[in-house]
Amino acid sequence: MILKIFIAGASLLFFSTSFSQDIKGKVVYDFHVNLYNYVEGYKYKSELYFSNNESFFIYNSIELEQKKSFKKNITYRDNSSNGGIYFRNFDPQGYQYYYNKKDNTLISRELLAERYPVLVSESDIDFSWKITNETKNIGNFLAYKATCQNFRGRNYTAWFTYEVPVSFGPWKFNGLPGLILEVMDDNFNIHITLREIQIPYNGEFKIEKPQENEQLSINEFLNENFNLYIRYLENQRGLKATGSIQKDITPIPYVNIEYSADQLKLLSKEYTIMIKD
Amino acid sequence: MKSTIMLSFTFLLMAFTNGNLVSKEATIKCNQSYTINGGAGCSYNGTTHGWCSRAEFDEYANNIYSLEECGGDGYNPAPIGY
Repeated sequence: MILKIFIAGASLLFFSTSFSQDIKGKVVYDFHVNLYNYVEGYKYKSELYFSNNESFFIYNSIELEQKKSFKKNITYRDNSSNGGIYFRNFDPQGYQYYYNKKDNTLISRELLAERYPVLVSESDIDFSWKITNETKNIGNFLAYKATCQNFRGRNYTAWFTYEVPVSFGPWKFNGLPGLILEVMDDNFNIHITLREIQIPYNGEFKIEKPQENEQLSINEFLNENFNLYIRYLENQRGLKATGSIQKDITPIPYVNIEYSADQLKLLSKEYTIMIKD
Repeated sequence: MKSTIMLSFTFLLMAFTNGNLVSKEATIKCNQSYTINGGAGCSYNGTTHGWCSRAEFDEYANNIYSLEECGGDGYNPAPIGY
């Protein structure tokens, strides 16, 4: 018993000493995104770099994926298929997320309507995590479960470890008392899993603020994203009216990882957007 | 005279039958539903477009891709199944 206490104490001392100095880490995650409820979405390769006070996360990048695009047959969760296809082009620079812990600010490089690069800034992100006593092993780490209700429309479960006492995680996730190793939402549209971790990390280190000309707040970004979708629908309506497209074509619904408050109100009313006859 | 009428009747019958067969075949082969999910501004759900084979479907998807300026290097950049 005394030995166990000694080992635990020594471990804590080791980690607190280690992390009081400059520390650099790199974590590789698989970022499963399946917003359309297919049997299988796409598993993006993603990387998180962190130091004491900053982190940088990237996915949807040609460099990481080592290819320019993907294309898959669509199969729905009821195992039906309509012969359709699901495809995307990766981006040369990828989606980038720079987080500064000191002032709790996040600057990200996103693509409006998956096409137009913009810089999005947000501050004081609050996940209001609730930490539980539930544990599981992820790799060699003992991970604790934390939950978050309604972060911009989704409920998340995260698994983090006290063994790496930094408050960083993949995508925008942060604010837990240990590194986030796994995150999933309760609709199974998002699932981020740990693939590899290197601490300390001595390789090429990428923590940089993303750069783009156009800058938006998070609300502006989410609203503009939705506006572009509406504009696309109106364009389709026009094409249909002139007979340029088939009458029975319906755009697939608007989906996103995160939604603005206004969009959530529409979704809560089971609002669907169709091109009407 | 009789033979002319018979010949005309047979010809009409054949044309009608053949037309029906073609029409039925087209309905079976081409009245399909499909989804093209290429991201925002490049997504469609629909039926009865009239594509009958994978190649025709790919051609149609390629047209959609060009018309909607879906970006990147164009449609059909990677084999199915990534």
